[in-house]
Amino acid sequence: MPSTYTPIATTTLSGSPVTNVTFSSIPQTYTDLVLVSNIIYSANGGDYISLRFNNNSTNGTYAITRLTANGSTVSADGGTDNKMPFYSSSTTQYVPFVAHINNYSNTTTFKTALVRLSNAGASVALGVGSFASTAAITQLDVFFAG
Amino acid sequence: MPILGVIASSISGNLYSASYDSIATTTVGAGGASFVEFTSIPSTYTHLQIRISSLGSADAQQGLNTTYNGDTGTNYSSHGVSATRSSTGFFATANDNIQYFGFSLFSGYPSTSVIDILDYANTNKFKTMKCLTGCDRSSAGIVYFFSGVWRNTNAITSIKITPNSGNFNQHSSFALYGIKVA
Repeated sequence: MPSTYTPIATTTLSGSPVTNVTFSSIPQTYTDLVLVSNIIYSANGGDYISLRFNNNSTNGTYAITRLTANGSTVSADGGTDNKMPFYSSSTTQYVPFVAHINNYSNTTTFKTALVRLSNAGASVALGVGSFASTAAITQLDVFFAG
Repeated sequence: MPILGVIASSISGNLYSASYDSIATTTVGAGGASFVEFTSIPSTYTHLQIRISSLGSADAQQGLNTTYNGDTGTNYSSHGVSATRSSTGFFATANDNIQYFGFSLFSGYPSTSVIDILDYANTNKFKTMKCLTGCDRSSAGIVYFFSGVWRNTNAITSIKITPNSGNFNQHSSFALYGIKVA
């Protein structure tokens, strides 16, 4: 059988920090997308690792629910937004951040992102987000925001 | 044909290249479906992964469960931790006749699930799974992390996925992958 887990694009940052990593022109030929990232924060901007689709920044189009455990407490929060702000970032630890976006290219249903991540020095977290758009996802932005 | 795309930041090279195969896919058509079942699963892989984007038939929270090899005996246990936007929770069953993997099925906004079933073909141990699942509906959301065991040493050859009530609506999609470990 053929391999079915295919890299679409990779980005490794070097030099000066950037505010945004954009994956654009995402092909529509797959079933699901998986974002695999390892992110460290430069303290230059907001402080939540965030996702945005199709450059859509309409407030209320996105909503999230988050579960975070830090060794002594477990907490839950979330709400509507103009992005999916999943986790408070770290300036000292790389944060493994994996997002699953299933059925991303269908044009009938809204889109859901499932996220798991950890900050080895502080906490572990899960999250789910909705993108209330039936448009196929063709662009994904990863950035920090407050 | 490759059907699972990966976008990777700070990673070079391939992930699971040549070891992550599509076994079967199902998309629910008009009229919905009361369950989805993968049968005749080959035993030639190391692990299985099921990736789901599902819609329920009612805008009310429904559970999701699996059974293996047609076994409806009380041989399943499940544990889960969850969060809504305002509270955390937990869940457990023991000696149940189904294996829960979430309570996040609604209509309108798709529930996404990624289930990993490890060593599914090994005939020397019980079968365990883990699942990340959730659904956010703008006005409310819920996310789960589940684990489960099926107390049976048989290789898994079929998996039945069922909502606790109602049906899966059309456009729900289910994909079964086999993962080979070198």
